[in-house]
Amino acid sequence: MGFGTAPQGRERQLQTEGGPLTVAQADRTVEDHIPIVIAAQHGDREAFDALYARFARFVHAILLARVPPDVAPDLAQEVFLKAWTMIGTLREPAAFGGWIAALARRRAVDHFRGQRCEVELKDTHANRDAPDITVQANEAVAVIRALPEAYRETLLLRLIEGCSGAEIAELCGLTPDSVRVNLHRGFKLLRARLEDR
Amino acid sequence: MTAEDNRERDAYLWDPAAKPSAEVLAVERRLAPARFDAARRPLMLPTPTRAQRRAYSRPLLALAATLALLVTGASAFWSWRWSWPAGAAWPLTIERDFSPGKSVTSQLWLNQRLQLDPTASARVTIARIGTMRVGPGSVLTVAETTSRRHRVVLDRGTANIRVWAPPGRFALRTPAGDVIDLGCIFDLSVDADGTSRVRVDTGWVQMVNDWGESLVPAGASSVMTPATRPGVPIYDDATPAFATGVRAIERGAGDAVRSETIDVVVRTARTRDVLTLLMLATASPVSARRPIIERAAQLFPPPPTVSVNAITEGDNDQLWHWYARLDLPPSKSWWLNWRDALPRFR
Repeated sequence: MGFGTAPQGRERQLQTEGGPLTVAQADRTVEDHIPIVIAAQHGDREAFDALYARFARFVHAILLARVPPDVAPDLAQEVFLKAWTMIGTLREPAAFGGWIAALARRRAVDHFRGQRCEVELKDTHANRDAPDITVQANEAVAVIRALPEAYRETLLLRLIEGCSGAEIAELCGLTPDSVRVNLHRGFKLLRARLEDR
Repeated sequence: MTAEDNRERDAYLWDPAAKPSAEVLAVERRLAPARFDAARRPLMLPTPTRAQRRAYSRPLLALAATLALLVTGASAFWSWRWSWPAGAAWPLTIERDFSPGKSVTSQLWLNQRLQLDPTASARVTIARIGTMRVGPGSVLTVAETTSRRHRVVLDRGTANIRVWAPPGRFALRTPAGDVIDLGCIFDLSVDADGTSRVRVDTGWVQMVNDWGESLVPAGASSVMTPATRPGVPIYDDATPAFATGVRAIERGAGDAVRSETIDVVVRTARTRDVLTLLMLATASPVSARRPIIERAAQLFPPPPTVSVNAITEGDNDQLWHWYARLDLPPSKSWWLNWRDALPRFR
């Protein structure tokens, strides 16, 4: 997995309107993170920064599937701050990915728990003053969030965070075939819904 | 859209490093502003939490606790094992040949004489430091038992002793002299005429009487009579001719016989028998030493600082330097024979 850090495998730069986007085919496995997780458990800040760099997009995508795009980045950071205070309680370093994903999902639930009486604003309204490209991106995210649950995290991880199918399978605990199907069907559905708008 | 386009799209969806699909690329570009950029959002971490510090120190604490527990346990075991109320009775179990399954348990008190008939054997627990199997027909008395000294008199009979304790803590007195445990397993037999024979399994045994002393290592045997100094140790796997010759020389045969016997001993000696040869040299008159020492030097050359001539002329200090180079069990490291403390009796 190559979240945010210098990619280890093949890579390529995509010129997007939002700036260069590095897409990496990561060759790392979960086991590669074990020494880093252990170092972070021993209070090593640099090690935890490395975990943040690698897993932040994963956490962000999980949140983005559940909360509005303008809230997700802050919540992602909150998740990591909480993880920093709790990482000593993680018994199995190899389970860091699943553990932080669970923290992110719980954080998303907590986010709505305190706002039950409030009506979630449409992304387009919430970002009235934002540049067009951000508005368009948030509209697209809103479309993904309206897709069946099985497709949401997979598409967000792939289309926004640039993860490969193999990475998504490993991170989400899915089989590669399931991810392949989710990507294929989810993307077709997404295209259709975007064209309807 | 062609089938080729679909294949290209699915390949690119699976692997972002594959050839880009225009269709997917368009969506990616649209979503790019929503992408999370960790580099632009650095984490401001607070100081390590108590949980983290605990996680760090947990293995060290566990190690320290384990070590403390081991030291405490070893210390408690150590003082328990060596302590013994002065004069307290030793547990005793008597078995008879005709009813081997049935045994009688009792206690062997200080100064109480244990006299076994030819059909009985006994197992005696030596305070907390070992056990002793006493053979049929033996006569045995506990003469002293305290935390620091345990002394037994074996007037006749046989005993197999298994002791794990510092040297000298346990000893047997026989009519021929004292047999002192230096931390080991050994057999002792006392004949009707008082002759005592020792065979050592592990560690060392010291035999001492008014005439001298002998140190017997594991794998060797020795003999002691009331009228002579304790015999030199002879390894049990030595040739019978060698063993018989050594004992004959020790008994003090006449000059003619001695010369012939020395020839036999020298001829049949092996490298392992150098210990016996050196000890035999110390027990022999200076005039008879030379062939023994020269043979020993052939089998196991002395260190350069040792002069064979000086030894043959009676320099025992140099002989002991040579002796120290032999491959023998360390006499001071009785604790290395810790297996002797395990609850087993052969």
